[in-house]
Amino acid sequence: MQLSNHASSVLETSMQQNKIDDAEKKEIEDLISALPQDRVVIYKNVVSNPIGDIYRYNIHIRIQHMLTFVTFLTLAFTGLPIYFFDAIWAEPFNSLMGGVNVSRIIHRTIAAVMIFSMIYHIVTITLGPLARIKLGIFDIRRTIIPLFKDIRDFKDDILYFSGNRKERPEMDKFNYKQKIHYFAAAFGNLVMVISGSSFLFPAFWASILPDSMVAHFQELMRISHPHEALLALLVIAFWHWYNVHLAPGRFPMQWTFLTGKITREHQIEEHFLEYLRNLVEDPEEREHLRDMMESRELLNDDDTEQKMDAGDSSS
Amino acid sequence: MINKLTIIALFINVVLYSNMATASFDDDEACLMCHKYPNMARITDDGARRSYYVMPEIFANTVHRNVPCRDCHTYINELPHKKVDTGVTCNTECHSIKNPATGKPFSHKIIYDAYSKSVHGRKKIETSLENDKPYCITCHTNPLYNPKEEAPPKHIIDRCVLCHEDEKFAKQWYKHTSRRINEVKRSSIEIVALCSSCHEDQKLIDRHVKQAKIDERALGKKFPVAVESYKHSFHGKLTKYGFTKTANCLDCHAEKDNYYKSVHEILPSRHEDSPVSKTNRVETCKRCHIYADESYANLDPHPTSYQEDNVFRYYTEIIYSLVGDFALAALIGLSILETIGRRRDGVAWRLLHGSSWRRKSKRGRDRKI
Amino acid sequence: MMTPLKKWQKVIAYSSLAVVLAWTAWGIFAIWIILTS
Repeated sequence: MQLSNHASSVLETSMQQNKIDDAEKKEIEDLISALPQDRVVIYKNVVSNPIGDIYRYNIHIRIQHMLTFVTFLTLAFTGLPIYFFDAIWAEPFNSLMGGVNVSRIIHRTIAAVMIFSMIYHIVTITLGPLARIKLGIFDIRRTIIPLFKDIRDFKDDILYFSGNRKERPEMDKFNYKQKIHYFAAAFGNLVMVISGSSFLFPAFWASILPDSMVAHFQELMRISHPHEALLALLVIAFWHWYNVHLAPGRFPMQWTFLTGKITREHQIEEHFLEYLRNLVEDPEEREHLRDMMESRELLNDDDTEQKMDAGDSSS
Repeated sequence: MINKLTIIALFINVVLYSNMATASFDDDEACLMCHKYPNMARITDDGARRSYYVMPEIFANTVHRNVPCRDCHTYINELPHKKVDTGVTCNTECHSIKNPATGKPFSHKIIYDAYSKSVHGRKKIETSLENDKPYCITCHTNPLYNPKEEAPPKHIIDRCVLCHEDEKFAKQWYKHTSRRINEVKRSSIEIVALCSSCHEDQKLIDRHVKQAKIDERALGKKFPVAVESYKHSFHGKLTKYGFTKTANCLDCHAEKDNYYKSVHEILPSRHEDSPVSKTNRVETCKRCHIYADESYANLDPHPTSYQEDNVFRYYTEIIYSLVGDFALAALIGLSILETIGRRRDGVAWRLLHGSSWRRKSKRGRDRKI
Repeated sequence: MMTPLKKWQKVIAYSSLAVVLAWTAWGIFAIWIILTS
């Protein structure tokens, strides 16, 4: 396949950072040029293990996700009967957890755990890039930081879905969807922590704010806390869970959150630029790809070209 | 207003569940000659049936059991007696019952006078809006059945009887003190229910708001939304769930000092002596929120989202809901678009030929597209 | 193509899917109750 300029630049950077020698460089470039132009052909024909093929999330991220997942649901569980106090399910639901005497303790304790997870995460995502910068292998395009490319990708994806573009854009390690979700969750988390703290320490907040703002701030917090929680809950239930459980290619469950690995198929379809880097960094992956493509006679090598001329009806 | 009919009905109900000693009711005044008949009643001018039936065995178990009829019904001078106008008011002094502490005739006058000065104070018979205010018997019935009085413990009575000899006497005194020691204070939930019975009555609220406007009289800012806003507040929600350590109506609106008197001395919030007036507010908050200071008093314990009450909150609520709904709709819309859009990739093809949604047995490593 | 899941993997995947769907279904019910009362 012929790589776009952007993709070539990503490939170049990766090869440079990984100090690839000329021989290997040629091998990689040959393989890539032998691949079919249409990415769809590639990912529909690779073999993927649903448990995951390619390393993506380190152990810290997986732990933090687990923590967030558990704490968020528990907080929602204990908080919902308080907000929707006059719904008929509120009292039984609350009693299930031991009544408000218990659930208020659970809610605050779990909130502390969530804050810990947040701090743990901030440390991870700070130290990680710092280490990579030090080692000279940092690439901002591999981070969750939003770039202009993400806006272009979003536009291109919408064009594709609506039938106005012939293929999906080449997206990087974290595509626009994940960046939206990440920052929505991060912002939501921050709102929850601040508004929660205004409930737990109202005197503190009242004393540091100017008098004219005290009441308004508290009212804003009183609205934010349940609304943000509810919004997050709905987004998680109907969007996040859809994407990881029900979306085609993920059903019945995406295993990445446990194993930290992403399937080859998913990587090629939605994170192709990262896949290029995988090819650079992992010779075994190159071999797998070559084998898979060859077994389906999809490689446009000099060897296969002859076979194709001989009347083979593939591609 | 609880009328006599309700009281009698209460008596009848409770009788089914209590086990009480038989009556010892000295009818020296011969009132029961007529009033022992169940149909003793009259029809008022507006067609209401007022019952005057007294069941001696029930009355003998109430707190007024030792009070002769005419100690309260002082206006009865002859038999048959004339039509009663006002009837008993709760500040009557009992001729027969002496207050053992002071030697003076017993009466509820102290509380009655304090109550008259409060925002709820009223005469027994009132007209128009004053009639909305609770009279003594709105909240206080003639308490009859208290589970704590049911069976005075034998191991305690045995001791009393050694000197005081009369077991009946000992039991009555045990009941008298035990009930007051065992904290008959109403629970938070009961207090909220009691206050709500008037302060949540929309018709009552509307009448008073309307009249205040006509009279050009000030009314508490939160008066129209008092109960509703409380129930939506954190204090209210926790109280509803049975948590006892959070504020109910009286915890803020009554003095902390001498609770039993102060709940009868409730004043409007604009009165300077009220615990929730601007000058006293912080001290009231501090009863529980020990770190509260002047700025703390800005926080609203009766929050609402009504435009008339809190403009800021009204608009914040609208904007927040809009943004939230939009974000959710956008994300779900994106998912739907994506699912349909990826069909072009051959999601339909994939479903046909086997996918993670529906597997086909033959996956064909050798199959070409 | 995806290699098929092993038996124990299917158990985990389908049970977590069931949990997620059950929670979502309950949520829909709870929201419906709130909106209709």
